[in-house]
Amino acid sequence: MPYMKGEPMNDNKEMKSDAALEVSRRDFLGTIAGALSAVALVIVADDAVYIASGAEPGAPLPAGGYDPDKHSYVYVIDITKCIGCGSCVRACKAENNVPDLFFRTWIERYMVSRSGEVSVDSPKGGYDGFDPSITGDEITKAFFVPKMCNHCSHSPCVQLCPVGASYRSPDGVVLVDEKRCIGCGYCVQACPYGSRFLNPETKVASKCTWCYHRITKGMRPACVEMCPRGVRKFGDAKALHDEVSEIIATKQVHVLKPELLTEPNLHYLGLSMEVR
Amino acid sequence: MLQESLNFVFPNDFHIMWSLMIVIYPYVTGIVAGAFIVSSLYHVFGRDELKPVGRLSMVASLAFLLIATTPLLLHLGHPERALNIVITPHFTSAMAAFGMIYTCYLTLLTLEIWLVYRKDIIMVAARSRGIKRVIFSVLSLGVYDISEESLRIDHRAIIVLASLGIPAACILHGYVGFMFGSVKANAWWSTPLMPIIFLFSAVTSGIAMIIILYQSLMRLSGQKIIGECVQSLSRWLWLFTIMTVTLEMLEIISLAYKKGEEWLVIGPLLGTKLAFPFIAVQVVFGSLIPIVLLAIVVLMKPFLTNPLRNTIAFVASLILLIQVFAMRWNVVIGGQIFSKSMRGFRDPYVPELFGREGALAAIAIFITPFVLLAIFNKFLPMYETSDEPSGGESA
Amino acid sequence: MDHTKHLWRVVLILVLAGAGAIIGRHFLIPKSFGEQGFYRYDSLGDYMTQPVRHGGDAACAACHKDRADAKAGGKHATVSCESCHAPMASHATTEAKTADMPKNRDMTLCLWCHQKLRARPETMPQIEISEHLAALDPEDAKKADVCFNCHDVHNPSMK
Repeated sequence: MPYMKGEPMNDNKEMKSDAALEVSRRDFLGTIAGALSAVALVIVADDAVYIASGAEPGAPLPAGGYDPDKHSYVYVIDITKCIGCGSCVRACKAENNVPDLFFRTWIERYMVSRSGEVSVDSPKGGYDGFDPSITGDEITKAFFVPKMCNHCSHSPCVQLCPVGASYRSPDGVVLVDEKRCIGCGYCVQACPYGSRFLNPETKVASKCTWCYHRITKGMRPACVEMCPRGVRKFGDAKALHDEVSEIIATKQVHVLKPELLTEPNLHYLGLSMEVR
Repeated sequence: MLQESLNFVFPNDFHIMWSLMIVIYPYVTGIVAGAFIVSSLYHVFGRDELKPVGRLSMVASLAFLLIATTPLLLHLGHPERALNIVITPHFTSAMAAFGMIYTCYLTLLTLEIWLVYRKDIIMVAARSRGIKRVIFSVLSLGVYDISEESLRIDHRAIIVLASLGIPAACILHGYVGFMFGSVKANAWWSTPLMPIIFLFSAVTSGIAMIIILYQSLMRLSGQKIIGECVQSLSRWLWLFTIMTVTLEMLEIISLAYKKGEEWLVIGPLLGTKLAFPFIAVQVVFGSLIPIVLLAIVVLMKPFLTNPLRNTIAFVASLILLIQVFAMRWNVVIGGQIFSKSMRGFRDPYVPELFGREGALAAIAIFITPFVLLAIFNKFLPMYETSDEPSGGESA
Repeated sequence: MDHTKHLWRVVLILVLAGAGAIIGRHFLIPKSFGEQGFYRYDSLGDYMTQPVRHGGDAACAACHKDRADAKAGGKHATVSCESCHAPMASHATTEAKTADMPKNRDMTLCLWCHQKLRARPETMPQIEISEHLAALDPEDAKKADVCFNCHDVHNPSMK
């Protein structure tokens, strides 16, 4: 509509009366505003694409010949086998340069007495092993539970991230875009499992990546690679005859805090009710 | 039930991450929303007895709104990336709404104040010379029309804007409450009551702030405090305090009665770490005393002299400002005290004195709106030397 | 006379500011944002290019076949070389050795797995260190590398 007004505007100019000048100026401003809104509309429509886009096939790959759409990773931890040696914790720290005081994976030790008292500890995340001395009641049940990011399908951290820095990759790994994260810490508050932290060096949210730099090269995550007892198993649900997805499909597996319906992709074998 | 010894926190949960700044932020936005509601009571709902604070409450709302982002910027790990929140706002995130809501509310409020002050701005431009004249001419947008007709149109626009402002103010603060209430991982935050509690306590703090500001401004400029106005504000304050406290108590009572998993930590939390800030400051000192004081103002009106009523209202308002601050503290800090292991408490939080998120920075942030108000009042007085506010608006 | 002129100026300013913000924002959205979802797709590349530090046993065996064979036949077959030594990256690249691999002979390493702990599954061989060393010369028992007197760490049956 503003463009159609262009013709009479020229006519008015020729008349050169004050009133006409007034009108023409308003028309001119209107035209600019109209043109700008038209440009803005195009841009909005353009930007709206990224909001609407789910998973568009055919997008360029970030690097190498790896195709995230062809994988869907899963993870199983067998609690009955864990000896609490801490190899995974040390491996994770070394592989991912995890800052002191924080952990991308850690081991918890549970000791339950006959009276039902539960005591839990995780000194330095299990990095230096566990204290053998036991105090208190007779322990009737004791076990180790390795913890890490659950890489939930419906992750509260991804939902709550205000800038789209936390996301779930097409292959099912929850990651943080360290170049866009503003360091607000909302995702840290939102994670029910305590898997996230603000890295004091980079000032952005940080967490387990399932060693994304390794798994995209066909290697296993460092914690899985270094586990001496086969407690930790990493698999790909889109691969043929995958051992780990077979366990999830056929065995009695549990996830942590299932009532929150976050749908973790980390499953536990032999989980006990004391574990939160 | 399992016995718990409350001594295990998740290794990443050892410290309290959201600091004093995140306490200040909802506190300040609460005052913004509350003060605006006061101005709407006058502009939209025709409470003429509130005319003396009609302008003050609007300008105070803007003054607090202007500094509302500062605590957030001081808290962010990467404040230089703060604009990401408007460049790529994630629509499933409550926090991403901030950019939109803040901008809309700021625009609306600025526009309303501009319309209310338009005649004054033009007068100042006409009276003064040099740079001041230029600035005020620009502020008037180069239109010097103060005819009856134009002022009448302004007045209609003000009512429309003020009406739009009510839901905007409610959304502004409701969303702050929602930000906490929607975190399902946190038992102390995760309740649908949270936005409502935030909203009511916001109005409480806003009215209390206006009572204090009004009385202080009048004292400072040696003008008469209009008793009707303070009386009416106190009545509203009493109502909103009662509703706020009721909601706050209902939340605790229902948690305690249901005794879900979360009560395993919240019970001991209220008994130990939050005993002082919650039970002593927020409930006993902060809620009971003002409710009684305001009841005296409201119910014993015929027996009170003007100065006595004003003083009681002033004291009750001061206590309520502390109550609302304690409430924000107990939500933000209290909600982080227990680890998500639900088996233990984190290291206690004591704000540092200096530093980006320290107590001094918080005090500086809180003082700034008063300075802004004083500057505003210097150029565009909220009160003329007479008791009545200056013209340009009629009820 | 039209008395709404000032209001129209406000509208114009708002429209201009709004259009400016929308256009400005358009140029600030990073490349690859939204290609696969609400995030910057290139961020995956940032993660993929991170250096790998643990090489895995097969990588070690490429140069240390003797050790690998000894380990493969014994009870430490599932124990990764790097979990007792150090990540491969601190010792060699795919082409050449860059530094000596640390040899930590401290019993702490052994005890991480073999210290008797109540929470450890009973199938795991565990010792109470004072009982285990009781038969030894007390001077020997004090040494940090006492374990190596009797055990070959790569194939830890009795020597």
